[in-house]
Amino acid sequence: MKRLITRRDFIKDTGCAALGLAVGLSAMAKEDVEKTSLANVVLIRDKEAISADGGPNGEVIQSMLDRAMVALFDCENPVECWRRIIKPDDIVGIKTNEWNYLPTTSEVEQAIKKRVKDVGVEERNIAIADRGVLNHPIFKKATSLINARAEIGRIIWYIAGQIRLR
Amino acid sequence: MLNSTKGLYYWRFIYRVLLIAMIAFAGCDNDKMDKVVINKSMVPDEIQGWILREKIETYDRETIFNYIDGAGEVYLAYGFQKVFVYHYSKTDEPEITVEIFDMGSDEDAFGVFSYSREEEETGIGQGYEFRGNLLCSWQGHYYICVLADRGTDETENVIPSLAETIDRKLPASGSKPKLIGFLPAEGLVSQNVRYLHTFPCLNYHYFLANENILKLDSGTEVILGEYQPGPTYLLVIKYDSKISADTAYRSFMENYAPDAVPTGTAEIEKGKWLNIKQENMYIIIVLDAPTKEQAVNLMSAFRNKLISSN
Repeated sequence: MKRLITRRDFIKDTGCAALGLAVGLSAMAKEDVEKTSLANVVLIRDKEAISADGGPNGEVIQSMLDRAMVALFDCENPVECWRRIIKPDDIVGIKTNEWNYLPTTSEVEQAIKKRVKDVGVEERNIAIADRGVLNHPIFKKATSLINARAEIGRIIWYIAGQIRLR
Repeated sequence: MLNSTKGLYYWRFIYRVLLIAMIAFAGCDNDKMDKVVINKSMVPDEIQGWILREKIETYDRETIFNYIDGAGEVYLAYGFQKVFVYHYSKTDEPEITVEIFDMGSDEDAFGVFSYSREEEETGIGQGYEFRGNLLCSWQGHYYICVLADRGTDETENVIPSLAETIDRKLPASGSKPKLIGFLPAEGLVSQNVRYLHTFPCLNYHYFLANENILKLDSGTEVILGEYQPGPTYLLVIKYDSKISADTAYRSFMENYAPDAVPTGTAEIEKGKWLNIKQENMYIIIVLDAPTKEQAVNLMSAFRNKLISSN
């Protein structure tokens, strides 16, 4: 049975600041959920994420993603972290957001894709899409799904979760 | 006698013609709104150099996720019926998207507007918010958003103009939820008044619990008002019956405020007081009041208005 968690529990246990994050976000990996009662959340800030021209800075975003993965999985380097959740023979669907209000920028998409490829997943086994994923050939046979979101206007972006399907 | 009978038939005939014409006109009027929207008459073909694209997209409750993906849940949590999406293009300028949501009722058009607004201004629709490259407003049972892919000097001018043009073509004003009128004015932060129905929507603005301990559903009407100093929150829920309110009251007391039995008042943490009352089919909760006295006073002020209205 699901444990009831109220605002009062948070006030007592963790303080309100952690409240939204701890309740709202999915666990990063099944193993971690089993180990801890709450999901781990990593927050990375970098004032250089937005370039002088107002667009996202791809190199900085890659670095932020890498730092997030290293912090989350406590690994030596980011590729090693990705190996914990992606296998070279995986078929990977990277679910992004095309909606105008919260579009995932290509810099975020490519940062994720680069690390998935670094693990050894072949290009033909990786797809990035939003609408229509239910009928997308790669997504239909995907063994791993990554949900990515980015709101560059407020310099917020995150990988909301990863699900292993096998 | 004959003339009189002829006269009777004549007036019956005229009456029937008028009746048929009125019914037909009324039917056209209803259809007109859909046709107007679908035929692009709701929006200008061109504005300040932005040209309306031919294709208009429409999505309903079944297909909304094809357009908005996860955020579609917010609209479905209200009485969303349909959204019409229009796209404008201009060389070397960002694309502009116009969305006209038919929310099914005035209350829910206001509700979805209140869900996300951080500020509120008057002059377009029945209230609007303009944040950089996005302007959202509500009018009648419509919720309207005009969004540029990014903000430029030109989009800053064209977005309000476009919103005003649409505003003039929409039907007359609608009504805010009646319960809002009962919120005591003193200390109320008006731009933080929310109207909603479901527990996830409440949790978004004020997290209470990971389970629906207030038994909210699409039929419940919820007002969340923020007061300063504090913030102190006034949460008012109208259920479909006293029996439903009884069940929800018991659930809340058992799961959240057992220490508020039997007075309805408890200090949840240091300097944060809760006060709860059930009034027939209503549950009223004051949350996070700095003192017991402030919690009780805010409760009384609301209850007095509610009771005197019935």
